[in-house]
Amino acid sequence: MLNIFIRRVMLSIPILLGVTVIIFLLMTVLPGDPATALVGEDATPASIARVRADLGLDDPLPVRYVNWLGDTLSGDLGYSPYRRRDVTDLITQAWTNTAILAGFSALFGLVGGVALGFVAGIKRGKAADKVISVFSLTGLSIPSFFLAIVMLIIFSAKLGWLPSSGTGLDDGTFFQHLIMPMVAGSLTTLAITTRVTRAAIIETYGADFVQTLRAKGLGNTEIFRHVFKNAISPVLTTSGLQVGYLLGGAVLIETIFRWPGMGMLVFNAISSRDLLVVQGATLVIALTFVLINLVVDLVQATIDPRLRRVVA
Amino acid sequence: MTTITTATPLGNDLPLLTVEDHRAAWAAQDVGVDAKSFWAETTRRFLRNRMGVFALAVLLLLVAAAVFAPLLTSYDPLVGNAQDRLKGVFSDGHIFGTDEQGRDMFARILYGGRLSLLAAFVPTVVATVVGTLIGTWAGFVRGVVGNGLMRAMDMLYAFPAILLAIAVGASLGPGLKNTIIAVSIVFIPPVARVAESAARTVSMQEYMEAARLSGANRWTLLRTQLLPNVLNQIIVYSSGLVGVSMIIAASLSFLGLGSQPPAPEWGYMLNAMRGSIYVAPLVVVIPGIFIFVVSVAFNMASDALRESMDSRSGG
Amino acid sequence: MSPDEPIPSRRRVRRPGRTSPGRSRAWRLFAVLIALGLIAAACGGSSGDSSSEGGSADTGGEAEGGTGGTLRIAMSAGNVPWPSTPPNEGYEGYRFVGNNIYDGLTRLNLDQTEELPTPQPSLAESWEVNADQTEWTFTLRQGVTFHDGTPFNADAVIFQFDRNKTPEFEFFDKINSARYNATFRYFKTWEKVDDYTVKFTMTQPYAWTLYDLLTVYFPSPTVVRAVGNDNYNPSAVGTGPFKMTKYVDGEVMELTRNDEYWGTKAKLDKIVLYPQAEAASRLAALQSGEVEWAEVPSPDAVPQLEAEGFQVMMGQHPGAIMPRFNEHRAPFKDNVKLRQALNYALDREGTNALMNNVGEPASQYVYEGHPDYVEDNPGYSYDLDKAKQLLAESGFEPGQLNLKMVYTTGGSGNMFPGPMMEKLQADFKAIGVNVNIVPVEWNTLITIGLEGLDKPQNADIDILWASPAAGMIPPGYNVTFLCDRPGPQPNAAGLCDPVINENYLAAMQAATPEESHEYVRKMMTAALDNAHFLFWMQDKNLRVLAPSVQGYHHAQSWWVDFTTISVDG
Repeated sequence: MLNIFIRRVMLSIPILLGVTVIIFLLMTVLPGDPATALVGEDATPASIARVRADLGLDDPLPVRYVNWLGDTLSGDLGYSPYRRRDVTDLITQAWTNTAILAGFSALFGLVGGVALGFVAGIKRGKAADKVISVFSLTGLSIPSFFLAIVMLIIFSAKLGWLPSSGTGLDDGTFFQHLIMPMVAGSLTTLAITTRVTRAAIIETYGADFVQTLRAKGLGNTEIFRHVFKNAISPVLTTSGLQVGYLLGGAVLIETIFRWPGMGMLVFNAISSRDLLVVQGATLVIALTFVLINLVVDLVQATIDPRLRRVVA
Repeated sequence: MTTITTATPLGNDLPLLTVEDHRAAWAAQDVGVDAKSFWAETTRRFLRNRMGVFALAVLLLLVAAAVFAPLLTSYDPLVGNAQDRLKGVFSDGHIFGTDEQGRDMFARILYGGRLSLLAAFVPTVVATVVGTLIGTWAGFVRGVVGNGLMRAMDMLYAFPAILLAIAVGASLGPGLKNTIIAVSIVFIPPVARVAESAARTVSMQEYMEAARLSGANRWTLLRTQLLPNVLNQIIVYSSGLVGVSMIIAASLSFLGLGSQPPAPEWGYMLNAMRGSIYVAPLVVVIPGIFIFVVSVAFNMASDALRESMDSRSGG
Repeated sequence: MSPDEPIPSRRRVRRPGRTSPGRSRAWRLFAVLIALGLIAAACGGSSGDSSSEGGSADTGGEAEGGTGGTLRIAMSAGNVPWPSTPPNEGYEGYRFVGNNIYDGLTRLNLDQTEELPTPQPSLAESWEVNADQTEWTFTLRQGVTFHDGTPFNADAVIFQFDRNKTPEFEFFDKINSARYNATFRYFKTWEKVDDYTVKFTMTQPYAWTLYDLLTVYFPSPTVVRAVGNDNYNPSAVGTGPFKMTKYVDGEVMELTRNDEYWGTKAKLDKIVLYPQAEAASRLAALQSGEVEWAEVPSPDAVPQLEAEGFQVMMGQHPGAIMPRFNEHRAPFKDNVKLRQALNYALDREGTNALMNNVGEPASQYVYEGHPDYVEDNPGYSYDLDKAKQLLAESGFEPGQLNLKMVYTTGGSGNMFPGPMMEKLQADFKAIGVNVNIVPVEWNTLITIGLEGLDKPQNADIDILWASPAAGMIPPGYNVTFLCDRPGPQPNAAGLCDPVINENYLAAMQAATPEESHEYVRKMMTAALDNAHFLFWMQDKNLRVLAPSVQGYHHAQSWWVDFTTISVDG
């Protein structure tokens, strides 16, 4: 198991490096000059030149990338002149906010999705299945930002039931603040999990071993338990991806509900040409994604030894 | 490495249809070389699937409405009258009301369908073609080249789609053309993954071994044996991407990176009018409804297609 | 000023009321439908998650026992402006953060709405200037201390000038000094005469020193020395009417009344600033009672907000949309008729109607009533015949011109670019001029303005969107109107008109403000007659306040005096 783990971690490294190279290249072709974006329209050419030199923008691209990589490997993500803060600091703050929202969204989406998918799966073709299928199709087809705005206007502006923005973490109103971003943000996760679970349950139900179990005279509850255990693998895989993506932040939800997480951090940094923040945040997002999926794969391998070979 | 063989959803904002590949893969194995009768059978099944046929009919209707827009409305989608702005639905002469510039919404929805459907289709088609080629090749040759290709895909994949689309969109600048390019790029890695995993499975089959032993040329093998069988899964998967494509385009619009005026496009219309939601909520919601309907219809059609391909699902 | 004095442009409504019953019922129905869906979802996912509360957002009133209450503000900025000198996030940063935490040597009289605010004594009690206006001597106010107790004196002034003008100085701030370039442009030397007297020598005879000093804020030298420039923001300390008591970058800033303030103390106990770039969210926050003040709501929401009893503020405001022609090259270079033709083709009333009339058609660069407004010059009306005729005289056939216009998709002070540009495109099309409109991000637009339209990467742009703070302070005309920019570089749009140059330079050195305005008006006449701009819309600075906000003045400025404001408990 440890070998598998180490091997997988080693394999992730080139992927993470590749991600940062891609983002670095994308950032350098953005229109608009980073130094100008920093100092604004009143600056003189001389002072812009000074800032450019200070930001290291005059160095050739490969040199800039290697410098960044060197600093990063020594644990220093740099200083953002656009925010006048350490990048590590910025990312920690945003990542914490994102992790809180992502955690609850994942819980809501995954638990809800598994439950709905399970019901739909065992009631295949019945009314319950149809209702749930329509519901999950709907969840996949609504732009989340639009649902967010509609919810905002109804529940906050019109009815005044829920606060419109902020995290409420510092004044004990966290749960009121959580509801709307969590629901809007987890809609996709909920829908996808429902579909995957349903498919997996149907798949397992049709499998030979269920017939065998039945023939052996096992009760329904027992069969459920076996079916569930065998169906869990694709659900886990999806969960890993979903949690990984939720932890990457959801820029639209974060903007609408003023929940300043990774999505907003990266989006604002792209707009202000804040290269170091984009690079650092990208790295953290990709790292989170890879790690979560690694953990999920290992969990799967633990549950089902047959998968070990595949995971490795 | 990240051994995720099931086709997978993109980022949180960007739902992707999940496809139970393995089932489709079995279907492909069952059929083996005989792709022609497989497709005939699939078509037959699809036509008997009421949901699928209904979804397809809705889509065809929308495409026809977009194509024949000039015959269906006499209003110019680009010309409005400030005095007539934000009229409600079913108001005089404007069944969908008018937008914030006083233009007829029905005309804008019809003409807007052209761009929106295009923006939904083009990235899907581009990503399907490119992704299939990359994935199939990687799954077929495997080794260093194949692995290298797939690791490159993983790099794009380990990043939430909306952020990737934003980065690409910001580099290219706002506009529908660039949205299409950005979404295409975002779609390639997942398609390649599906293709690679399918190609890997198929190329390990006995009939492939047999063909190889009989001295078939590698290229011929790829073209005549592998590709047709991989395509089944790709098509199921890609049909689900069309709806996602619409939603990403609308999301980019929200951030100011999407389609630009004056050409009507549903995502742009939805965003341009969100400030008017207090005055004319029903009118503002209309473009959203169309995005929703197209997305649902594609997802339904895609579901039906998958069921039709699955020889064991009966029917 | 009494808080109850009538403010001309303030549309006030009797009592806080709800929407009409019919509409409200429809909303409730809609809500129930959505709620059903949500309940279905929640039932499915019942276990272990967050649905344990049922509280409402209506926390409404303030717990604090203070007299002036707490004012919570939803800004349109994407982030909390940093409390540096100068702040960022454009004029929103100066409005909410800069002017509250800091004082300048001068300050605008923003507590009145009748006239364009002018600089008044602030940290400087009085000043003297020599005959040719090259030497300005300021007597500083005594007994002023920074929020950390450090005394304010001539050393603090010199410290800040060194910090921005002397690259060798230990605490020279590369980033902020670059952002301060325009403000400090005309200062040549600065010296301490005694503890409460400083003397500035200007680079040339200069009449607008008092305007430049408005935004030269003074941070506590003790703090800068202790934490350095890079870590200054979290510990920002000034002398202003409010102290920064909480600052979470990206989330919130809290300002608390400075009870030791040297001047008129503020009424408010606290100001809380939230960044919220999304207009729909700002409005929801206002309506649900989470904030008392929302910047730039959607114009279409205005009637409803008024009906609900909110105070909708609009008025004459030195902000405008004045796109610039590329006069570096054809077709606009030396083609007055073409520039005039496009000005006659603009349907300004129609554009305004699209925005629910929250702007005003611009007949000139500044609004009517502004001291730089030229009386008896009607400017350009909407006149298609004239436009077509001038187009023909300019040497172009209808359909012959295909122009490229670049505009921004957002940014504070830009009104509503999307609908405006769609309208402009249709207006020009009506006389046979095609415009390809190209949106760019706000940062990109600023970069283009800085690089200039003569640079190869921008040379294909014919018209450039511009949203100047038109006429807020006279030095503001500088880079837009003059032939040369510091550097030296040519005018970004290629505008170079000897009459404009001559009069602006005379205005800069005029002996009295009246004389100065007279020269500027001559400059404006030349700009208008030669159609150097696309005179389009005046912004009326739309803003909504809760009924509980008292003592607000919608000054003719981008800034606001917060010391007169209070919030009813």
